[in-house]
Amino acid sequence: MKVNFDFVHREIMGDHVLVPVGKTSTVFNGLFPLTDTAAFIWGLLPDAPDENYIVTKLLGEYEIDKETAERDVSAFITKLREFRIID
Amino acid sequence: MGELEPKISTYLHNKGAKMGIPVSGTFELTRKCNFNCKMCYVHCTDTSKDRELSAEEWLNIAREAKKAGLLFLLLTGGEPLLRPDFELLYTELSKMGFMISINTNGSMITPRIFRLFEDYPPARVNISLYGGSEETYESLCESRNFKKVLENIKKLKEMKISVRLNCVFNRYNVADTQEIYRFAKENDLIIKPTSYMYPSLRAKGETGDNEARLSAVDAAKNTVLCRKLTFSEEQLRAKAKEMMSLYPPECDPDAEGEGMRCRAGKSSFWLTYDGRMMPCGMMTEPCVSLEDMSFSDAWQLIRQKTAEIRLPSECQQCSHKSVCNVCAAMCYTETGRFDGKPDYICDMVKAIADEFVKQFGEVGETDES
Ligand code: SF4
Repeated sequence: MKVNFDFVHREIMGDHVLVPVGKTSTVFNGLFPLTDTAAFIWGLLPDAPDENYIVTKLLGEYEIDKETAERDVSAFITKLREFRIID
Repeated sequence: MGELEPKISTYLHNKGAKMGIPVSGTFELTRKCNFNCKMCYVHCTDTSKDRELSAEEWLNIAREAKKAGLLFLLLTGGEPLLRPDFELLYTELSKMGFMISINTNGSMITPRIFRLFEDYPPARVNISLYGGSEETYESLCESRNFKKVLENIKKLKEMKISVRLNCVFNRYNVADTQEIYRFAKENDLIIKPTSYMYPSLRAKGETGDNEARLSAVDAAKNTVLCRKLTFSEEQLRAKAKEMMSLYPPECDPDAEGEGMRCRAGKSSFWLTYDGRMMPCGMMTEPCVSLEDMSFSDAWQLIRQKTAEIRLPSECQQCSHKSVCNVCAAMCYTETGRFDGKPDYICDMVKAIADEFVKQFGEVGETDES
């Protein structure tokens, strides 16, 4: 999944934030905080062909059931699409 | 025209202070300046022998600082845009993932710099606005750049870059206070006013005075004027009410002074143009050179030494403590000691309280009511 904007993912004291870089900050003025799960998903985006790929990886990393994983992935991906961060 | 810090920044700073992480920092890229302001705390006329850190040295420090947790980075000077390698330095720092703000006098934002800010918009540009006319600029800064600065501010606004006006009021520009507020309002700009000026310890090597500053009472009057130009009648009356009911806190008369109140040395650091780390750029100690150690070791030392600082014991029992913003840098630059009672500040704070009560206290309301 191609990310349309330039962000640097920072982990600071266990918190995750996306810092907009260059022209991205004219669209996103400020920090974009991520939950742990969202940060994990964010790291997978460049290699992820679809949501199923992310769900499988998430199930391998966290002790959660498939339904929760699908819900979390879908919610985050929808949010990213809303912001046009991915297509 | 007030300003609210984003919640995430407050959260990260508070967490940083608890965990000892330098979430924010200042890179003082140079102390050279194209202005020669009478009250400057850092600029010296002879900077020819300064050994400024190179761009590569700054970038190495930035990499280390990033690993240590630095997120909010302020670039300042002197005039940081005077550095011939500013463009390179700023671009590389931006790519590293910092939220960058820049302090500038606003006179050197060339078309190249505007283009740079178009490609890499800073989180904020803080413009030091020194007056409301060319004449004031001439007398305070020895530079006739007022119109240019205003033009540049407007251009930054057009580019949708967040701009804050930093205004330090002193003998030379106090008469322009209302004019500056009018300009800020007209252009929808945030303004950060101060009518207090630190003694220029770093620039002149002396504690206790700043030839350009207002008397404590005049500084108090101007502080109240600035609040009047910002807050509603109701807010001002509420403040006056608070000022009328000040009383000394109950505490052990032998209690030692409290520690530093601000973020300096807890979640924030300052690096001078020649690579010395301090908690805050207004003071001269504690101070550790990065020539001798890594960024992280320097930060740990600065944290330790900051934790040892004690403010004056007199402040503990002072009736005006709750409305006084006294800080370690004020005590140090006023008296040469962190625990020295800064009489200028005491006089100013008391005069602010009196002025509030005089101007906004309800008739018939007194200490006893
Ligand atoms: S600096 Fe002066 S006015 Fe402020 S708290 Fe200390 S003693 Fe009181």
